[in-house]
Amino acid sequence: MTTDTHASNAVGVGLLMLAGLAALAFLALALGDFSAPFARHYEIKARFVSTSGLRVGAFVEIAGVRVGQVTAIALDPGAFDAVVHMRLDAGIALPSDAIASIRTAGLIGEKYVKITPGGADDRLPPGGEILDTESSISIEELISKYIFERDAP
Amino acid sequence: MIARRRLFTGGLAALFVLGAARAADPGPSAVVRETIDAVLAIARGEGPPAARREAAFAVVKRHFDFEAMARRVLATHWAAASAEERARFVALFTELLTRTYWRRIANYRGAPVEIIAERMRDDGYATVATVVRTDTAAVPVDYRLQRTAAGWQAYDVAIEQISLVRNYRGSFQDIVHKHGIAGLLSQLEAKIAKLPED
Repeated sequence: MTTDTHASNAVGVGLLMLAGLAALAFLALALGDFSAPFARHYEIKARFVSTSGLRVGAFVEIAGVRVGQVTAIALDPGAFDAVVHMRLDAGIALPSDAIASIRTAGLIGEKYVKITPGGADDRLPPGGEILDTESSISIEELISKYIFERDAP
Repeated sequence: MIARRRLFTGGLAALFVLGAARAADPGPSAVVRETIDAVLAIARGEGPPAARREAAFAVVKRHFDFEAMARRVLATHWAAASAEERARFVALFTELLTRTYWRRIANYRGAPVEIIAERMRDDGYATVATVVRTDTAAVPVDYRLQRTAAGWQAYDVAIEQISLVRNYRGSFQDIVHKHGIAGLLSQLEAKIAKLPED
């Protein structure tokens, strides 16, 4: 008799634990950046001279619409430039001559990657690289350069 | 404003500079080097300005792929344009660039352009990084080239990391959205008519 109740209690507790874990996992996926298992994506990459200020998780936008995010930023130890890996929604097929630019949202906002599609007939394959890029521009550096380096008017 | 103009003068001196063709297949840096030198030599040479402009343009055209550039600039609207519209756009865009920048190149008196790096990208693309030194500022100018049947040809120039193609792509996109391709073509014509020829 006691063994029976013990057994059914143990099963109940076990089930409750499983339900709790499942709920936790769902929350983690839904609230975190792990949308990948639920949607179709593909990876592309692009090389920049400087990605200063860009962070993993930053938006990728086309015409102001969010179409993906930055998944990794790594230094190419040979060329000393930055390789940015991005994940784009599967429905978006970019022309191979698209240009990727690192831009700032507003004047002091976060950096994001802006893609302007081109006019080529062929599409960038999954895993492909956007060849033409514009790095992040440091307004401070530009201003200082043309304050201090320009000749007298 | 003056600094800005200087930057473009210097940078675009270099823009116009892609072109000296040669028999053997020269690398991207060699193409950039020779075109810059040839165009600056013509710009500083003697003779009537119109003749020099023509000579310089002939040099540039050999290693500057204006059609590829125009296609990239018109971007998504290129596919929708008719063959006739495309041809007119290429012609007008080429004329706009030559008129806008020739005078600045002709007046360029800075130091020789330095080539500082060349990067090959495995599938027939290359970037050549140069520095244009005007009186006191050093302006980075990157040429983006593609290997074609006619040798290496440039399709974009980035000055201070700002791409010429992306810049025009943005502004022309707005015009096409509002006025259509016909509207863009007539605006280009009007703009060209206002620019001096030499």
